[in-house]
Amino acid sequence: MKDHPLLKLLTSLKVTIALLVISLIIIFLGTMSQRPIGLDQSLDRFFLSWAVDSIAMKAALYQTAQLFNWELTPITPEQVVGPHGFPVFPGGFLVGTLLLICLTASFYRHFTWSAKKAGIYLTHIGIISLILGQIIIDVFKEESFVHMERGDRKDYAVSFQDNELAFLLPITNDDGQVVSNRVVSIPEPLLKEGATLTHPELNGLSIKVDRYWKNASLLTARQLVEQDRQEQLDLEKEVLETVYDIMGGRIRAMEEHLDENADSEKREVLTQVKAGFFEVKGAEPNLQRLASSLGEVHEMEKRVFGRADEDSSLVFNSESVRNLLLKVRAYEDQRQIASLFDSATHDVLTSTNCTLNAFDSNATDFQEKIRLFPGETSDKMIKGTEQFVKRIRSRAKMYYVGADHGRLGRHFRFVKNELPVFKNDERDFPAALVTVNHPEAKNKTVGTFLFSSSRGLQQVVEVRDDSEESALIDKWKAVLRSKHHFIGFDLSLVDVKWDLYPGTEIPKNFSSKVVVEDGADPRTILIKMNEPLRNQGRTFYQQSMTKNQLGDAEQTTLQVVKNPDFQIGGFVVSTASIPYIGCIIVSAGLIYQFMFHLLGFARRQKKDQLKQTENKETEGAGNE
Amino acid sequence: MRPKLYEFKQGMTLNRIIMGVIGGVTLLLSACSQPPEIEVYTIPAEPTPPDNWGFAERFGPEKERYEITDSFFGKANVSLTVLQGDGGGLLENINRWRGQLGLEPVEESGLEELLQPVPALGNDAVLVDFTGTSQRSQLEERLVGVIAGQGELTWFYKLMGAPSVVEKSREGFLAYLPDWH
Repeated sequence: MKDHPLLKLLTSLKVTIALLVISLIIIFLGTMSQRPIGLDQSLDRFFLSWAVDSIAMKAALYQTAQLFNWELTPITPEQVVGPHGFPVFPGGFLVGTLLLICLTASFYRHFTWSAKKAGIYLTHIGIISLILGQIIIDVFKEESFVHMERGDRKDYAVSFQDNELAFLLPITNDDGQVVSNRVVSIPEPLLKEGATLTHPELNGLSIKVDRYWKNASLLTARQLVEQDRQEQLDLEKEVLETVYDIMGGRIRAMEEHLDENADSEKREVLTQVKAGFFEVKGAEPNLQRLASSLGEVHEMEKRVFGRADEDSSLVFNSESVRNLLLKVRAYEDQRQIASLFDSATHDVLTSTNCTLNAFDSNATDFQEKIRLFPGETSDKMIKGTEQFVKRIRSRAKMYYVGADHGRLGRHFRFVKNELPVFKNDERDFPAALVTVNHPEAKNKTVGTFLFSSSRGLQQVVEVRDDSEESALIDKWKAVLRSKHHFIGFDLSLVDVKWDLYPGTEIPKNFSSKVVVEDGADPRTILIKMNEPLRNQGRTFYQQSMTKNQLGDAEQTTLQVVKNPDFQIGGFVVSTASIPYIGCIIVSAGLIYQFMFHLLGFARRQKKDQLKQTENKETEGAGNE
Repeated sequence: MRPKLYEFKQGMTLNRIIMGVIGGVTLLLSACSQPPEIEVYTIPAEPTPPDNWGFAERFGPEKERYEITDSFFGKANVSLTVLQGDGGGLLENINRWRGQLGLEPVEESGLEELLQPVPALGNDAVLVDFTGTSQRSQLEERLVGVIAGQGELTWFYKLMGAPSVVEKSREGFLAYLPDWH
């Protein structure tokens, strides 16, 4: 059995070294990929996966190529958040599992009860514990954070990435005072479009998810128009960049010409033209100023190169430049029409409960007013307005949600889907449109509500029966928010300190003074960068701080890590301690093995010395 | 060549070991891929301000600010500020508040008679109640302020605005203070 070819392969040093080399490559590439795809994606796709996919690998290679100034095509944000590519390299889990198998196989193959090898076995056991411990921690650990400012008291931490739709029902005592809240927390992964969610603790409520956005921004009717205006501006800027490139090229060509054919007078004028160009480029887009600057370049070209006004090589005579200017003018017109629409129909745009029909007819009225405006309205204006109205109506139709209940939905009538984020310092703001039903409610429907974690606003969900009095059945509060992890005690922030090395802006120490109230006497604890607070299975690390306008540290963020516990024969062992236990076992094994050989060596040396002494004595006696 | 029986058995044992390790790790990893379930738990009642307090943009070091609007009598603001230590001292803060209402500062000796106890916030909490002319709006305004030292921090609660609105809101304001963190 122990000579089985597969066992031999698994226990070969070459395989283990190959796996360790692959691990190093994964660590290197994973680290490189953090910049283009963010820490979380990098962890998930390189270390916490069975195989690295082609897109993650491409991101890592792109970043690596930057080190050597090689040109590779960068990946787009759409690619990062889109479907993963095909597997191209072993992932952390696969290498970890294979290493585990190799170690176990080696242990199995070479194990014989022998004091001589006990240290090696212990070392193997320790390494197996380390790998297993790391896998267990990766799978079961819970990470969150507490953000506080001086004087805040909190009994919960919030998740970095996970969200929940929480329904809170106040529980009152006999005197009618609210003593607690029952929370029914629906995790974000259950909020799938079309899903209907029920739970016995929801007292008959059923929640149908009509729409769900992983990342979305909420818009009022007015903001919808403003966004359109902003997009026209962005498009205009893109075209302007091309115009600026052309103008810059023309100016450079004139400079080069004057370098070869020196003319101080022309050089001076060209410098002025160039200064004017940079001024236009740095200012807000303005067609009139751009045209004026282009005219100056045109005139300058005539003077420098001695060309006639109708020469087709002059900048203003270029067909492509003229087409670009027409585009700029069209975008500018659209922006002006958007501003006009906003001011002319301000009342409708700012009214609450703006329906899609109301928005549509408002846009049509506006178009009609422009067409019938007393005096002359140019065809260009009429056509531009038609174009704007068509676009804004189609956009409104696309984004309209029209929740009929709740403060959020009444105010924000439109929801724009955004690309999910992946950078470590960003987070998605999901939104959901849900219809709440109850069997005793009128038409069995309580209403349609819009929720968004970007607002974190608690909305009242009143359930009333179908009677004439509309008697109140339950009054829930509901909110879509970052997932709350209740920590089981109160944590208050007393003070925050952001120490710098004297005379520099280099941080020396961050510390947060907190008061822990967990049933015993309140105690004050100072959390520093490498001195976390450990309480009730959670560890609170000092993560970051923010300053106020005066430069004083004002808010602190503590990272909270919870590792699961398990019981062995009545002892509670935290999984967080597994790596430490593994390290102790490895150290004990190595020390044992080293000492065993050292002592053996010392014994042998002593024995040899005794033998040599005896031999000398024997030789001496013989000589005598 | 046909494998011998012992070789076959050895192969089976080895397969079991390998499959056991792979299976164990896969099981462990799949544990986290289970779809999460709806959780139900109970939390202590969250303090909620009186219904007629609307959220307002906070100023400077304030932690929270609310606005109370009465369509007939005007409006008032409620704010909470937490400062380190004694926050600059009791006398200085009371005189600062008096200054906001155009009132003369008081001396240390005259302070005692202005202070009222607030038992719900502990022995160190004091309440002051003044009416004067607001230096900002130049209208008559009333200020009900509570200063409560708690450990290394001092909490400043302030209700200030149109006298009628302050009068109507005073009871709710004082009732909310013990829960207001």
